[in-house]
Amino acid sequence: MVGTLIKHEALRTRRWLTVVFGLATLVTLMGALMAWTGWPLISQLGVILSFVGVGAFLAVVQVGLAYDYWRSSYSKTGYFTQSLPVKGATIYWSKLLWGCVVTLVAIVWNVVLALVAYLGSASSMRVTEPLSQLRAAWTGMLEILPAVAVIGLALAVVVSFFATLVQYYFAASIGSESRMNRLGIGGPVLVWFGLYLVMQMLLLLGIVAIPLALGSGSDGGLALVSLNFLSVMVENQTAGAMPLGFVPVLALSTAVLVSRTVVSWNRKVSLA
Amino acid sequence: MTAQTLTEPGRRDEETMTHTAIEVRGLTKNYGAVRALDGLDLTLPTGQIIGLLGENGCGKTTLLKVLAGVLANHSGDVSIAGHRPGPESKAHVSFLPDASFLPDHAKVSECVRMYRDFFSDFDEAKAADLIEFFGLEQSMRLKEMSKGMREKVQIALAMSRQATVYLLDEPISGVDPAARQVILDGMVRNLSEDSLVFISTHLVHDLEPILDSVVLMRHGKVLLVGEVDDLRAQHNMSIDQLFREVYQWSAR
Repeated sequence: MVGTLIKHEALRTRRWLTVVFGLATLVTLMGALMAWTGWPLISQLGVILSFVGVGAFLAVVQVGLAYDYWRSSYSKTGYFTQSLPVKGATIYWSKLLWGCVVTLVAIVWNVVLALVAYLGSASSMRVTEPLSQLRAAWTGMLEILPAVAVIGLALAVVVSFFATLVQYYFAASIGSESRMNRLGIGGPVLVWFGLYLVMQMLLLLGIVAIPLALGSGSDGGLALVSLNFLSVMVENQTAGAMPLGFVPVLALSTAVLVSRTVVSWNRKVSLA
Repeated sequence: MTAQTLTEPGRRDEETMTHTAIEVRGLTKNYGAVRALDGLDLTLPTGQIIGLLGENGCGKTTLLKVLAGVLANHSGDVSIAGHRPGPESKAHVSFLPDASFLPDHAKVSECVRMYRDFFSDFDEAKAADLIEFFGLEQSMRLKEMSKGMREKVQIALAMSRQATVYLLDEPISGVDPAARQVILDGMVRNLSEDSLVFISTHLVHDLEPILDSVVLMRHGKVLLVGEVDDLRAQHNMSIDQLFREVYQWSAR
């Protein structure tokens, strides 16, 4: 059944996803082309346009997935979804899995678009030999970071986007339960704002409570270092390292949000 | 007059009507301070077409949603097709909500595919027959259709499941009188004798000819349950007239 559910997720979302992917590509290509001309104003506009295309793409895809999730689960077409002879949690996992697949593809495509935008804008930004510079930056990063750390960081970025999707879906489900289902899309929006504030506080607490960071070790390479983020904040210093306390908070909160959303699907569905 | 159990045979074959399709005890559902269902009791057998009647806000749609398993946070005991509302009951219950629940951009053929993929009791040949009976084509898109045409598609799909219980919420509302008759004809076309069709409506006059029994609701409770023929004979009036009589106070 999961296969069938995912197949219909793909069928339902393919139209608007094609439009979003197509528009982002078009905007980025157009911007890059305009930037590449080097003509005054046109090239500057091109730089802005191409980076808008790159910057907005993933956010639009994820917000679109969240809206589609809400619409197909709790709005009018939700009547079909919620009438299926399938456990609610199975439908949720299928939607989440499809959302993660789309997000992963969008991240890869965003990297490609970013490369196009960078190459197109290089001359406007007075970057000579952009490919060589990119290669040099990559080599430089590998000198500081071991390959496994680079892979770890890339995975962390991907997982953080998955966590964002989990938060969106949580807000859509909880905001559509009986207490708020009369508000329509307003319920999920309210829950998301509330969740955003709570998450910011929890992440800050995690950073302060867990004094670990990724910074420069004694040999100049990357290492786990101790960091008292509270004193950094109080004394208005520069941290000089990336705090890691948010990682367990994000992982734990994502697990909690997923399990609460599963409860919502199994026991608290209330269509208005 | 106030009985909330329907066990006597109606128009359809007596032998098929021995099973209970819906059993509800003490069902209560609140929307904030408003009590939509108030300790409702109801028992309905298979093998009948039963009208669910009542004024606006009396709890008809809420009752159907609870039975369909799309409305949680209620108290009381509910059994439909032998199961509590959930995945098991949904395999035997075909629900037609009072909303366009199919994607606007979809073609009729795509909607047929959705039903075929998700419901093991879906009869594709019956769906094709009903769609043709309604004068529709499978290549048509829902967004290009009138409200009546969309309603026909939804009814064709919902009625093409070999379900034990069909829950239909206002299936002919907002449709012109000529289309109403075609829709009603389609609804009862090749209907299984051992299923229950439970239809909420305000359009009593249009629906009366196909009904075996009626359930009248008021203020979240069952006011009256009875067979159409018995009620007509007992009150010497049509069900439509009886409805007007019972609810005339709320029309003022």
